Amino acid sequence: MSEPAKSTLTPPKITVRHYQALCGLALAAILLLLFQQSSRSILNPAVTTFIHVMILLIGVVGILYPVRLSPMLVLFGIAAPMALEQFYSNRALGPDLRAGRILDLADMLMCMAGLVFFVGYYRLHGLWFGVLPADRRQPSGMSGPPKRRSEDSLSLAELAPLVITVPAFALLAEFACMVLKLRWTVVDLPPQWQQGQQLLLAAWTILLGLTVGAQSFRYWRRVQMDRTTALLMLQDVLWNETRGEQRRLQRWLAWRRLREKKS
Amino acid sequence: MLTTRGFWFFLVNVALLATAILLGALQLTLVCTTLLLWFFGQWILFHLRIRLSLRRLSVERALSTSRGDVRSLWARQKVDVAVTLKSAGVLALPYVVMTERLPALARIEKGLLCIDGAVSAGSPMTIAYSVVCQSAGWLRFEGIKIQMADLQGFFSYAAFVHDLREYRVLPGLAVEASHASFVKQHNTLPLLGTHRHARPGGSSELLDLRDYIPGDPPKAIAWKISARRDRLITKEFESEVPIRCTLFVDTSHSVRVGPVGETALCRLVEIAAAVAQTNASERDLTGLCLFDGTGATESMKPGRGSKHLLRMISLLTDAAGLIPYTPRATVRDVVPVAFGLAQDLYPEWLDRDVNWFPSWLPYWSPQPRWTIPRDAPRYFSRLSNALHQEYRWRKQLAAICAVRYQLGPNGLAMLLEDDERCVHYLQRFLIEHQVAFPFPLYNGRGEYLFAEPWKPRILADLLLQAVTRGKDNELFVLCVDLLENTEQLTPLARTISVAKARHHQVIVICPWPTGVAVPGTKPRELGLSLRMHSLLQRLNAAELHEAFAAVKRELGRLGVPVFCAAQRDSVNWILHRMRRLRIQERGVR
Repeated sequence: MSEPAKSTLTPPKITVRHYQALCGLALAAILLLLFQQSSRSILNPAVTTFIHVMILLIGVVGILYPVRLSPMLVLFGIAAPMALEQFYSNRALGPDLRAGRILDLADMLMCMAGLVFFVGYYRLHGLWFGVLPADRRQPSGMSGPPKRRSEDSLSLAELAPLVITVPAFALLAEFACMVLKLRWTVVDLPPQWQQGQQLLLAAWTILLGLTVGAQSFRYWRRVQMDRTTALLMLQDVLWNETRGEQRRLQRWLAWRRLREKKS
Repeated sequence: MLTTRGFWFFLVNVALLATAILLGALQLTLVCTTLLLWFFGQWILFHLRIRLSLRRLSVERALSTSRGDVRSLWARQKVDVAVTLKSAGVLALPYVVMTERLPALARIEKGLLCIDGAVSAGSPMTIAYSVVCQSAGWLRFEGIKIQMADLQGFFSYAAFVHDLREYRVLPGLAVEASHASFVKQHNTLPLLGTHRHARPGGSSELLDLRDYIPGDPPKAIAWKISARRDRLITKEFESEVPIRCTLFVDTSHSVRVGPVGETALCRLVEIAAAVAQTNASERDLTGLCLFDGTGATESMKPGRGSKHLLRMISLLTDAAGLIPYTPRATVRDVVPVAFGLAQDLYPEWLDRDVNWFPSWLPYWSPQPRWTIPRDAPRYFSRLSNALHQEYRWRKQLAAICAVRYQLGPNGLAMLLEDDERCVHYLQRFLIEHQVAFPFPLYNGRGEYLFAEPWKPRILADLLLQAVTRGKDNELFVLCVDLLENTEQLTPLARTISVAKARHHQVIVICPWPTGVAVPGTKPRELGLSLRMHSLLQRLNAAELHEAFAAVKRELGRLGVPVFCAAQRDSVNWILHRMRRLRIQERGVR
């Protein structure tokens, strides 16, 4: 009797090419959306075309070859036409975030394409340059490149969550912008500084979110501490509180020991 | 936690978001908000993964040879190691780099010590490799190092999953062709494990005839000779006593110096184990005495049998794994090694939250003058970055040692102020983890830091005790480092004379450092380089050769052969002496 075949449910493997294709598709979507928007732009068409060609070049080079700065350059490239257009339109009408549309399909697509592009891009960077930071203990000049992510560790399972998370985050961003568009008064500022109110609100939200999150995780980590680590922490608190007194006492004792040894 | 990549991504996004809000560019605000929200989402998810999975990680380890799983190994035996990282956490870890911490004694033969991938409840991660231990000792597996990150490389976290396993590595079996056991060639020769002893005893070989003394057994009366001489004559027979060999192994700090598994002590242990095993196969009695600069640490009376041999080998194994310790080491030497070890094994104890070092402290309250090394800049020391780093490392290590060794609430401050105690506890920390660090062997005045001038006297006392208790025709093998004590050999020489006078044999085996040409061979060519390093090497080798010649000359006068432990035939020489004892002619001692 033959042995029953073992069922191994391993997710199908993917390669670097899959991520390159994903980034390429996202970049194409971004460029199409930018081209579409440039038809009603107030900017000089030559300038917008130049910017789009630059985004295409930087993006394609970044997808095909490992260039460390390319994600930031692409982000600046995407931001540049939007910021420039807004800058010139603000000259006539003045800045007002509330004038914008909400839940616009083009905007949603741009957000999703941008997110997919950067997720794929940074994962490609992980495969090319490594995911983990370099070991700083090595002396300078000997550290070498950080360990690259092996292609064996790639699986389709890591792409699947993107199907849900990408639209979810785009929707969340729409919601956040909707909240931001409400009239907020954080501090008393002149009416022409309305954008400053929104900026302060965004800054406070980010700061508060980070602080609350960091402190919550810190508390959780303390709850999970083992006995030795907790003792170490308590000892550290004691040392910080009585450091001067302890130092003075122990320095005298060490001095006496040295003197006795010499004599 | 946050990597450089993550930091720049966050910073650029925040800057662009601020610009977009100030300009009122909705689409750019949306794009930046999406990216930032996703970044926060990743951050929260990463923390959740760590907190929910880290405590539920476990390690399984199996060592196997061709005969299956093993609990102890032999030196120079190839062993397959399989380490599996399992997670019982709810969330999967998307990217984990698992690195095995190879024990200092092991040398990797095949396979890799590092692997990456995802770990979840259903899919563990396994590293398989083969190692060989060059010498006896303890194979100590501390656990595995794991580095976790998100797939984008924005956040990372390093931890160590502790799973302490210790395996005894026994000295390699002495089954070389040159160690062939003695074969009993004629029936006239005594049984294996005994030799003729020219004193009255109970063997079957006639030793002498003498007049009858009342009380002699009637069966011992030589009737024919008695009839011929007309008086009662009694036969005296030889006695058959076992051959005894006592091994004195020096385990002082001077022979422990060097990389783990490559010390002079390892070679001495190898020699002692080879002699013990060969003697056991011939049913000869073997004793052992381990000593160091303070006296005998372990001793075993000469004995035979498998239990005796196993106990002896286990003592030798423990001795082989000893790590040197010196109170003369400086904080500056020890701190970087100990800090590297703490970074590897206890990263959570160096966390800012539990072991904080105020960055302003070196400016406000620098280390005391006596803790600043001589060669370090004394003026403007408050501004020296190297000293700040050393101070930080020392504080963090002092905190760890104070908790680990329960030094009380003042322990941390004491270790920060008292260099001697700090060095003591840091060395203890290193020794417990089997980490040997490169000690300076000589001080600034050229004095050997491990010299123990009282060692020959200690050995002489131990040898005298053994001679006092011993029978006749015994072999004493002194595996001892005498090269730095050539001036203090007189007490040892006197005791050896006593031993020789009682018809014992003595052999001296001197440990020899790795990489230095063995006496009697052509020294390694170092070229015509006038570099300081090669010059020092030559000088050191010449000094060692001179010391060895002096020991050989001094003890050679007493008829004691002196061998170098690095010579391959040193075991053969000992066995040859044993054979000479065994087949001594009748009446010849």
